[in-house]
Amino acid sequence: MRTSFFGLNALLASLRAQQEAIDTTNHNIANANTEGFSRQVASMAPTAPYTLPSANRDSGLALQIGTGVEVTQIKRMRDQFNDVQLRQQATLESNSQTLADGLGQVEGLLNEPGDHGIQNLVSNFFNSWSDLANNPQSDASRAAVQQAGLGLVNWFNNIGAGLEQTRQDFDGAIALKARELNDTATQLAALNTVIKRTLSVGDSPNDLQDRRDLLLDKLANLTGATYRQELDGTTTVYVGGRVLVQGADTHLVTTEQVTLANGKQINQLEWDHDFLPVQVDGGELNALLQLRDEILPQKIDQVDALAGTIVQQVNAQHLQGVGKGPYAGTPGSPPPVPPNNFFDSTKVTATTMALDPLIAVDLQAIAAAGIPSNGEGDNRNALAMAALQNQAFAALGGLTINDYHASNVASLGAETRQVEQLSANQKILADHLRQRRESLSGVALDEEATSLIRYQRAYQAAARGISAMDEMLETIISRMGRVGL
Amino acid sequence: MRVTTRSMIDGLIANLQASQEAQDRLQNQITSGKRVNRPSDDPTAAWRGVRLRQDSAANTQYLRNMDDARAWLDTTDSALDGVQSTLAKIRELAVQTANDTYNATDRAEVSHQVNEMREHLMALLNSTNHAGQYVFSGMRTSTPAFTKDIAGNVLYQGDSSSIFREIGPGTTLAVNSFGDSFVTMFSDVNDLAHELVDPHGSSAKIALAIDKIDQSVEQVLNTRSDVGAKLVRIDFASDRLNNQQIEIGRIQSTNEDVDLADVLSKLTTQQSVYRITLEAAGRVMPYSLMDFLK
Repeated sequence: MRTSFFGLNALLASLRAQQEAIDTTNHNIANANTEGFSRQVASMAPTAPYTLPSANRDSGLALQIGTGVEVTQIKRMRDQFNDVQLRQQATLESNSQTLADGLGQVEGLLNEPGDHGIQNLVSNFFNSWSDLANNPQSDASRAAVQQAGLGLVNWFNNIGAGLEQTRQDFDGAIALKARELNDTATQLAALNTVIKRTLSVGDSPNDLQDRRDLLLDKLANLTGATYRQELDGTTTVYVGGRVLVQGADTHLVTTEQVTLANGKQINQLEWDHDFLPVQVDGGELNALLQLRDEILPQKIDQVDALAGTIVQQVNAQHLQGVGKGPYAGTPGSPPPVPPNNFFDSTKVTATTMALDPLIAVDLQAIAAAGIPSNGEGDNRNALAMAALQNQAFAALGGLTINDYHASNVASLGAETRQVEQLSANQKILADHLRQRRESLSGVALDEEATSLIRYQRAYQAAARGISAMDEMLETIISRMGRVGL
Repeated sequence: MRVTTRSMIDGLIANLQASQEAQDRLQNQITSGKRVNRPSDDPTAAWRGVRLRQDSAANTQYLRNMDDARAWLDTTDSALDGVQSTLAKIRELAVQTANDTYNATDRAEVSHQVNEMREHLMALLNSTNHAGQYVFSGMRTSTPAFTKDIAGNVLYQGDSSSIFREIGPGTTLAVNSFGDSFVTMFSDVNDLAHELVDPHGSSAKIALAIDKIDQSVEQVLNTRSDVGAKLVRIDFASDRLNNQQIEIGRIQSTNEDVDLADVLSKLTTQQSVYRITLEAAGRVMPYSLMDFLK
């Protein structure tokens, strides 16, 4: 026995359900280009059937009558596992990309191979001594040596300053990224709170979860943070094994100005609740830390070793000779003034390197002759100086100046190339995972258009059904029992 | 695999980017003419490039040093050539006067000539090179090798230091010859001049003086052959270095230079790829279901 208005409910439920489905489709279409948006699908299921008791029927079987449809859930199409893989890969990708960019900057500074780098100026310097050996009495040759020395000093100053500036730039970038990290963590914690609340009342906070996923993507790129979904719907984020975000709580990072042993200052990353150093295992921040703390200092040390060795060895040789005129005295007798340095001996790094103040102003102090001077044609010291170019030095690992520089150029090139290739490979892998994500979670406008048609037709059909029921009821209500009227 | 609108566009953009990046790199190679612009382009080639430039710069300097050495040796040789012919002339005169047919006036005349030639010898041995250095003075290159004192004796003012030029890595060459080995020559010539006007002189004594002149000539010949040997050595060394420079240039070019034909064709290909990608996108992109729904 069924009631008269029984069918209406089912159709009404259909109207409601199709309407909700259309709303979901509209939401998808509207967000087709929103970053981080996962498409949503309205899951429909039949409502609980009405069971007719079996006692009243011959077969003794129970009968279930359908009662309509309802939207049970608005599902968010997202593959969590793909997300985990993608984030791991993105961490590697952003790490090697940042390293490649940083190393590229160093390559640009060094400007080798070419005609305007350290190699050219070093060759020029020693050649000018060789020319002086051909013409020790000539002021023009002396001027050339002084100018070559100045050129060398200037270029080393430039490169030293450039490398140091780059290191400081990375330091500044680290401070900025730390702020970004804190902002992201704070936003994530806020989202955690709202998502938890929403879930606890049984709703699906799809869009909030999308936003949270975007933040997790950002954290993966930034620091290689790991995370865990908790049962209450919040996400706990770890950086370097320590908690960054847990539920609504954040442990933020801060930077402290620390002076290193070599006198340089860096921004050290610390947790702001116990000031222990932050361990960043991957991502951009890890790359920046590597660049600032390992790679740039190594390159700076190499250039300083080259500059320092040149200063020390040239000076040592220069002290074994005398200049001309008042510095030489009479041929065969000891020099009237003690020998002097060519470079300022107190300035032995690339940035500080300089000519000795005497050499800068008095060409005659340039020591071409041996001790004691045999005359204006004495070129023994100039010859020895020119030969320094082919001498191996312990401070350079047993290499000559030229070999040391060439091998540094080669290893910088190899390092950069390797990181660039790694970066390219990782990009391919990451892009593949991104494609997978887009394929599952992205909005296809054609698909949404057909969905619209689908739901719209169902809506129309349901409306039609209601009209049909209306007519049937009209027959009963308005026309039954009116015989002959 | 499900394809979304965004994934199509992302894919298109990624492909266009890759193509443009390739074009940019190729154009860079064309304008610079270099295949290796940064060490990471080819680390081994970069290393080789730095080493080749170092070697080339060093060789250029060695060649310059050799030119300077050659000039010094040439100056020495032409001075000694003059000395040799002057000594020959002196000898000739001496031989003539040894013949007792010359009278006192004639001998005085010859003696005078000999003294003049002695001056000439001194001038020759005080030769300077193109840089104004006295080539026979040892390291006292701003001082003339020989001077005359009041008594008319010729004194050597230079020293006995060798002057070296570096003509290869670790290889030096002494370029100068010492004037002091010619001091006896001057006194011998002086003696001859005196001998000629000596009233107690004799042909025998003049013959002795002539022998001494011969010894000086022998000395000059020895020195000249030494100089000649050095010039030959420099010629060989500079030939070798010049060839090496050519070889370095060739290797450097192979190492770093762009093969223009190859790069141009790659660029053309890349440009077509770019155009075709755009065209394909143009055909596929504009349409969606929305255009066909009423």
